[in-house]
Amino acid sequence: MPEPVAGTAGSKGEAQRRADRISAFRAELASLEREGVLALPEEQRVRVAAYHEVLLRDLAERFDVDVSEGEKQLSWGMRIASFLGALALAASAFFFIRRFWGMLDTPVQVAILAVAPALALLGADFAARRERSGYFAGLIGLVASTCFVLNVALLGEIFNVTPSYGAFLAWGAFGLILAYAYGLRLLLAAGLLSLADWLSSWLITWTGADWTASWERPETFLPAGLLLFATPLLVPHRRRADFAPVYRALGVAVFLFPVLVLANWGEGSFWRAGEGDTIEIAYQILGFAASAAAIWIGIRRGWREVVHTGSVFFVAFLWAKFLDWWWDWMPRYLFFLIVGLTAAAALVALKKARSVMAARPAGGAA
Amino acid sequence: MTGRRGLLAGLALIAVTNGMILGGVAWNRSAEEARIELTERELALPWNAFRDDDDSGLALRWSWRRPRADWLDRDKLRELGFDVSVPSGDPQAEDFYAHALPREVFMVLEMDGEAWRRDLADREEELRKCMRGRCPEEYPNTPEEMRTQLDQDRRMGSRLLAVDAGTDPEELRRRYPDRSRHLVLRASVSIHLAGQERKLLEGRLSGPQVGGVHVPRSLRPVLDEIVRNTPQEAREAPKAPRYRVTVAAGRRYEPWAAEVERIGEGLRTASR
Repeated sequence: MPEPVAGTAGSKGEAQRRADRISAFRAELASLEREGVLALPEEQRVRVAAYHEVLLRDLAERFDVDVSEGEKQLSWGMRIASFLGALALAASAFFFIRRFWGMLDTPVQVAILAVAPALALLGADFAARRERSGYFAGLIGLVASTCFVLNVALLGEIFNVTPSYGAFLAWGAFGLILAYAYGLRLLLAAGLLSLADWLSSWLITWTGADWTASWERPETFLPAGLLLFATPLLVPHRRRADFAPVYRALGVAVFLFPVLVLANWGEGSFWRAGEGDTIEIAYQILGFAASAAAIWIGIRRGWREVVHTGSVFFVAFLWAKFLDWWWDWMPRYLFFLIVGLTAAAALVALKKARSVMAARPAGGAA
Repeated sequence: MTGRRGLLAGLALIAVTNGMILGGVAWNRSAEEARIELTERELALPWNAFRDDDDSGLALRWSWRRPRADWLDRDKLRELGFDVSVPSGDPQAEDFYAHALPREVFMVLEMDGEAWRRDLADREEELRKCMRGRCPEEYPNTPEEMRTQLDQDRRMGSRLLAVDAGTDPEELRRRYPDRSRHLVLRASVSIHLAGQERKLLEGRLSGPQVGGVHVPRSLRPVLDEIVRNTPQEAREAPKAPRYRVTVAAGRRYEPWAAEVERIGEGLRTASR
């Protein structure tokens, strides 16, 4: 009998997908046998069952995957509990430091602020080694990130340091380090958003403006959106295959959100050619085209997260346009009826898209 | 990235970030660019000093103002880097200037100087005119209101006035060499059309970028005592300044509280 090849699963996500496929295979095989369509010879059945047993045990040992539906549901509960717990612990760390730090001398304040994220990081590392599911590492990792944000922000406050967008670079880098070290997608998303903010602030300073004005020119976020989307294409994520969807979904969102803002607030654009209306129309066209393109690319490549994010923005552009055209004169019942009908139409379209995706091999291109 | 490498990278990032911040602070404080005495009139207690149990830190907030004779005009705005090529009367002007983004500059704050005295003199003249029947349209616009406000400003109004701004702090220091009266700090300036017909192009300073002046624990006793002993009704509007703060600024034009002293009721001083 060949040795199980769990070694090909590089991340917990991949391992879980393999375990899910085995579970689906077993259920389907049982159905086929019950319905008399297929009957595996006893010897083959035993070989496959033994192979899967060893493989599942190995996956469970190495990645703490869920091998049954019940375990899976419990895992979701644990994921939600660890997320809420992490938020509460992070808030607790924030308020604890704020409540007592004024009573401490400056060197003690500095020591606490610098040591807290380091201790939390050591805690996350310890948890990741002791508990393979990653829930506790994720929980403590979020606390470490909060402590690091407080570290930089409060040091700046204590010493009256001029606020700088460089802080976003440090916070983003810290989020990415934790995410890649322990496979934490929430911190990956937080870190990438922080880096997007840094890039946008850096770009606005090239115009001579104050860095805090980056939100006044949403276009400064567009390069960050494109970069995020392109990153998994340029840097293959073999060991962290479940990170690529985070990059792509954030890339689409960070690109389309500023377009949505500019489609309704032309004054915020760098572009001064013509009236505000012209700029808004241009961004509305770009918004519809880009979100439709995202849906199309998502379907073609089997990137569900891109299809979903593109769909959300397509509908948002559509509703914003409806609001613009009809809100002032149309009876409210008719307006909401049309909005509801478009949602139904979007559902039909997405259902068709789903059937196209279902016809493709699972996983698609990474 | 493995867990071990991630741990080391994370610890290194924490060390480098803290090192950079603290190194910058040490560099800033290695030489005093200015040292100036302010009072509660110019550095007020924060709004939450009396009521926020969840925040034990204390940062005094800046109270400064622009002189009435404004110097932040078209020429100065051009000098600060703004495009002022569109005349104020042009139909495109409002849209053009509304579109301009704020810029980072250095501003000069003058303490109890010529600008403050001129400001008071101008307002006394306005009061005299108002008593003769020529009152301004905007509040305060009756002799009683104007007198009340003037008296209050003489007692508690900030004497810290923004008198200039520029992009080169050293050039500003050459122009304002008195380091015990003029403070150079980072600020931000935006441009807009003012006046009833929106034809007057002017700049608007905001800042300093350092939102307040943090008071370390060693300097807190004087302020804590004031907070503790101030009766409820006197908290919002003290009749006279109760403390004096010596503020220093360093090489990076970042300020810090160097000394806090009680005014009246037997002097008490805390310094570092």
